[in-house]
Amino acid sequence: MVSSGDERDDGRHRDAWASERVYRTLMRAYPREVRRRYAEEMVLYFGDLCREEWHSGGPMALALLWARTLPDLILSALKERGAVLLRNAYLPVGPVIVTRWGALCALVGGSLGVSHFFLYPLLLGALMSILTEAFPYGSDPFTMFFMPSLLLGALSLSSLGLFGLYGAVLARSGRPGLLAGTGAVFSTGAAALWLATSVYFPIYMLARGSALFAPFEWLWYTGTFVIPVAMLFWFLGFLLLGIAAFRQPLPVQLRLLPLALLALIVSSYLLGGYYWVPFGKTKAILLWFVGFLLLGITTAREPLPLRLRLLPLTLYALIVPSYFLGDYLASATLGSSGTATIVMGLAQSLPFVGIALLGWVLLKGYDTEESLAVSGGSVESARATHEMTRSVSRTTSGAWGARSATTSGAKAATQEKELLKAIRRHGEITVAQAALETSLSVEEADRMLSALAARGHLEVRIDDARIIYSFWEGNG
Amino acid sequence: MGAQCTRGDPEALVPLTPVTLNILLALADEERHGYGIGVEVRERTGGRMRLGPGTLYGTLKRMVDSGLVEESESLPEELDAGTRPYDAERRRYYRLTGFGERVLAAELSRLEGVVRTAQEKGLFPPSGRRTSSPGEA
Repeated sequence: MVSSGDERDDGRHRDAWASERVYRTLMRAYPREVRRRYAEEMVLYFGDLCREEWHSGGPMALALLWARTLPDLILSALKERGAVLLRNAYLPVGPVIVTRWGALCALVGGSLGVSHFFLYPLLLGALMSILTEAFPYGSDPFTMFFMPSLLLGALSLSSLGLFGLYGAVLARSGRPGLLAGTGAVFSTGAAALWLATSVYFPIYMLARGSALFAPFEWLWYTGTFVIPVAMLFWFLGFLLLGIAAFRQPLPVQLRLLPLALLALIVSSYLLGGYYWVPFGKTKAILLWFVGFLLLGITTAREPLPLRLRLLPLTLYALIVPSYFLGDYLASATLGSSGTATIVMGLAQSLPFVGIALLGWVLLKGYDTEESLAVSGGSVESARATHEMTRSVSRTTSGAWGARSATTSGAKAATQEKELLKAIRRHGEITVAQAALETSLSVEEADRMLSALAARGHLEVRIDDARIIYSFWEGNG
Repeated sequence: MGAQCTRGDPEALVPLTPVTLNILLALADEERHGYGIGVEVRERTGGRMRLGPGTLYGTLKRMVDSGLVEESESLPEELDAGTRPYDAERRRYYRLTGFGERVLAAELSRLEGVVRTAQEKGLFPPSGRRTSSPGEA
């Protein structure tokens, strides 16, 4: 081994030590679990390699080591994070893939959205407004192509993200609570409106013929065509979410309300036409933002650190007033078109900042060291169940472990079998039922069921404050 | 290679990846820490396999989870107080488990079968080329 105490003080190895420090910082790329178990060793190993390379070939050899190590770090970090993501995938009520990758898409889509709605108008748009007093997006070919494509990317990824986020929230809640359900109603309403107008508008443009005969106009209309299509995907996602929420085991009135609202919106549109739809485009956006707000509130109730829960909520709370400001012509209100551009850019970027933050929140949630295998019940119930399972895990090696040490193995196995047979007979069981059905006392049944659940052998859910144990699906 | 395979049928884990096979070979004769494993693998494969920290410890993690190797609870006996490196206490030593030995044996007999088949077909050893190392498996 190359490392020794003397070498620490050797100035010649400053580069090697600096490399080690940089590598220690880069360890952040790995999930917490890997860092906790192996970070110190990995840094030591890399430090040894650095000193060895330095001895054999100086700075060039060290540079080559970095060239080999960086891809190794990126690929292995992705692999480890992927493994954690798969292991910690919550038991989904919604679509599995969407739930798993939604948070990541939201992060990327949100960032693109921020760059489009905030950075671009702020840096370029404001400059152009101040210098030329022209419309900030301009009409040159670059802008014509660049803006719609960026917007398309942002919206498409955001749509996947939002879809996934909503699925993730529903999945983590087990079932959508009142807020999540109402959020789904708003989102569904907005989706239906946008879906209808997005289909209508390009067809109307094509029917007019102007898009086919005027090249410059055609470019412009291509942009206006692409954006509604992106919107269409976005709101199609919402629509599907609404349907997913509708299929949840909720009271009948909560399931009928979205359906009634949808029916009203669709019939209004079909009967009345675009220009006198009771809920116009403006109100559709407002509905959609209220949906965001409810989503933020739902997420704020997740069992996560306070700072992770409140920031998205605050941003979502700012969306509605910002939108009103934009709706009533910011430039007229603020006097200067440059200032108005900055304010509008900021206001329009808020949903995307919120999306990115929500994605981050959920990804942080995935980066836990233990899997959250909880289904059923509200968010509070899920949290309670999770806490309960964790506390049982902590005490398993204590009270339950001590007890099993004094109980004969054969007796414990017989009792366990009795308990499992009772679950098989009934499909699901409460502690009191288990005590009635077996030779166990209530306390013994409680302890044994909790221990089995904590070890992942049984599913736990909470229904009307009752803790119910059952076999995992397909395991009974 | 998941935790569910722990101490099950060794055949269920073969074929092994080249990295896993080489780590098992490195630990077959003595307990080693990460750097020791890396150096042994590199030297045995003639520098063709250089394990980066992420690959080495990612694979070790999965091997520990699968019960192929385990962390040694004490420093190897040959490291007495006089010759022990200054940072020996900070390093974790790994050793093969009984299950790991059985998996290694299963993999080696699989490779032996592959070589025998190649010999029967007159493909091995290839003329003018030397025998490949496990790193090239």
